[in-house]
Amino acid sequence: MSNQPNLSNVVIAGASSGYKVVANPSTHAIFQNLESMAGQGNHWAQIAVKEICSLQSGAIKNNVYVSSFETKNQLEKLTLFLPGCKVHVLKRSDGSFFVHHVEMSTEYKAENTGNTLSGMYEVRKQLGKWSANPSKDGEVIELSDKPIVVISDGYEDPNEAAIDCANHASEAPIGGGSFAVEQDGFNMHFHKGVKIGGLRNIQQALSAESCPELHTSALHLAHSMASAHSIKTVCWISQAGGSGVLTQAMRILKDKGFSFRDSNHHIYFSHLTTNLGRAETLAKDLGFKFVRQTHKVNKLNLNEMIGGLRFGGDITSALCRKRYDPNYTYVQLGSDLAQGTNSNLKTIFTLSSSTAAVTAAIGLGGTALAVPATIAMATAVAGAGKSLFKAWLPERYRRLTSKL
Amino acid sequence: MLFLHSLKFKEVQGPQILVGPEISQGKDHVFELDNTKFNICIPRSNTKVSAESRTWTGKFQSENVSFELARTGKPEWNAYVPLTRHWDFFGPKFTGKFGNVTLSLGIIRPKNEGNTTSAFHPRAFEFFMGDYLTYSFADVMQQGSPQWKAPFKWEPVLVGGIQGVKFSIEHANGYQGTRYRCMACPIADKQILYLEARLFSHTVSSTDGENTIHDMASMDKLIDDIFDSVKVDLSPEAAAQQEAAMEGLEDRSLVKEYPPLKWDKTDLQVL
Repeated sequence: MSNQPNLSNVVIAGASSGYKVVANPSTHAIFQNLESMAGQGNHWAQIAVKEICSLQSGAIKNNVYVSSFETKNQLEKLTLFLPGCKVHVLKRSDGSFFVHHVEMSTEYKAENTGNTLSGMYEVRKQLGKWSANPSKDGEVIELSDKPIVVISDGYEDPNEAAIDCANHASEAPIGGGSFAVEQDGFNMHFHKGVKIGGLRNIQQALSAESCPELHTSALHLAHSMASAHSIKTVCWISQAGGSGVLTQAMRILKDKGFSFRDSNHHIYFSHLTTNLGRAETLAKDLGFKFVRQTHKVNKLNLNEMIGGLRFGGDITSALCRKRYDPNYTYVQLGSDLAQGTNSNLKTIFTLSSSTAAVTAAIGLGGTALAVPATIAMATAVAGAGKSLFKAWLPERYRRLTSKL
Repeated sequence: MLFLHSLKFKEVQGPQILVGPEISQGKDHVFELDNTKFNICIPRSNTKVSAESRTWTGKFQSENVSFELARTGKPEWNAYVPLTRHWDFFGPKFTGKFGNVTLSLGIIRPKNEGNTTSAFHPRAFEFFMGDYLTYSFADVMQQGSPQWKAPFKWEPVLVGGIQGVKFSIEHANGYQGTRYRCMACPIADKQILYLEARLFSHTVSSTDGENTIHDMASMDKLIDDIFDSVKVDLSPEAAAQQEAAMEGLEDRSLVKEYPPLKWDKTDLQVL
């Protein structure tokens, strides 16, 4: 590839300042199409155009959605994973960027999408059921003076995600509880895909902040979080594997130099299945606030114990908090450690040799009949029936208690 | 019967024929509101999602039940929702879930009590349905344009001798993977029985790069059977209201065709 300028190439960014971003004629035509869609209110096209133009700043080293490797002729080859497209870029020796190929995703074609793309949704109750509708411009809507945003795990249907997110938001210690959720509704960042992290995807659980499968969704969320920066109070709650998307989004914001220290934005991790320690560290670095309880995990759920806590991550998390939070006393630290590690020890020791209990806890199927039998046994032995039921069958437990 | 279908042990390629609950697995549910009797045959929910299922049977009076906002944050319509269901639909055995159907049965009424028009009058009922659809769907946007269009496939039907209607609500861009099937009929001057079923299919990535959806015929069959099972027996008071509203009308039928409403920025400003 020659470094001499090609007269048919077009400068799409950086003409007057920063590094030039240049495209060949065919790629320029695609870029113009993206700009047109962005002008018509297409949110994912707006993100894609913005990120392509931001190459002019040259700050692409730590960008999590960029894969980079050296080529022979002192050119660096980059691939940007953006919503709706994959952009292939060459970084020249003079620092300028040459966009030589754009792959458009068929998923984002208008006739294919329906309402099932990853992004921000507004969730309200409609005729007795939760209904998720795409948010205008992908931004957080101020449904109340303390809007709630729930980052969902992987689902195919945003309306099913809304049901589970509503339950988690209702139980969270931030946001106003079930009354606020029912009365005002909430925002939901929907992640289209399979379940994130946990025991089945341990690599993703351990390194969610750089996982490629979460790039597009995390980029959407990062843009939504950045645009919500001006809202005084926002409650960010991750639902199960949504912690992975939130972790990567916070990494993107940190790399861009964002800070929420001057805001009253709070974070809470509900039943997370990705690394708690990393998530809390990023949140602390960005200046998010925590209430006393920063997370909730079912100790009998191996997806959360291994994927989220890594068998002791809550201890590390509590110790880290003692270091950076001047209001967190040693008495509170001791209380949190005792409560977090000892509350279920008796039950765990009683059932530790039970294969049925372990397989039921990680939900691998085939032992559905073993679960009620194990709960009955645990009730007789340790009096832990209700907590086991809630730990192993949380959705059935919620459905049952909603009828009481 | 569907347990083996619900387990996911293998992947499949391409669109599949979905299977799910059938009306033969349903039970009759009877309830009364203001002495008007309702009867519907409906299967139990089969979903693993923690969706709330309501089944309120018995005799109720309007002043004793809780009419909530039909849509959070919008006060123009109220709804009492005594029955909801959520069903998962599956592919072949051991392939897992590929779609779902959610059904709500509600009694809806406009908040504007000063309006003296009776929902039993055919023109008034058509107006109420258009107003309710605008209230529910007109301001839902996707990429700067209204996401939904309604009503489609408008079909007047008789529900227990009452003039009612079936129709669909579909994506404005023609996408069929998410859509609504609805049925409605007036049951009092200011009350409408309204059933709304939301049908959803997972998207399927084809080898040619174009996305498609699964075959949703079994979902439509279930909804058709449930709608056909609905029976309404008006109370004497409601029957008298119906007669008073129809008095003097030569043609008591609803319009045969009702084109989709145009929802643009003007409508949104009114809302």
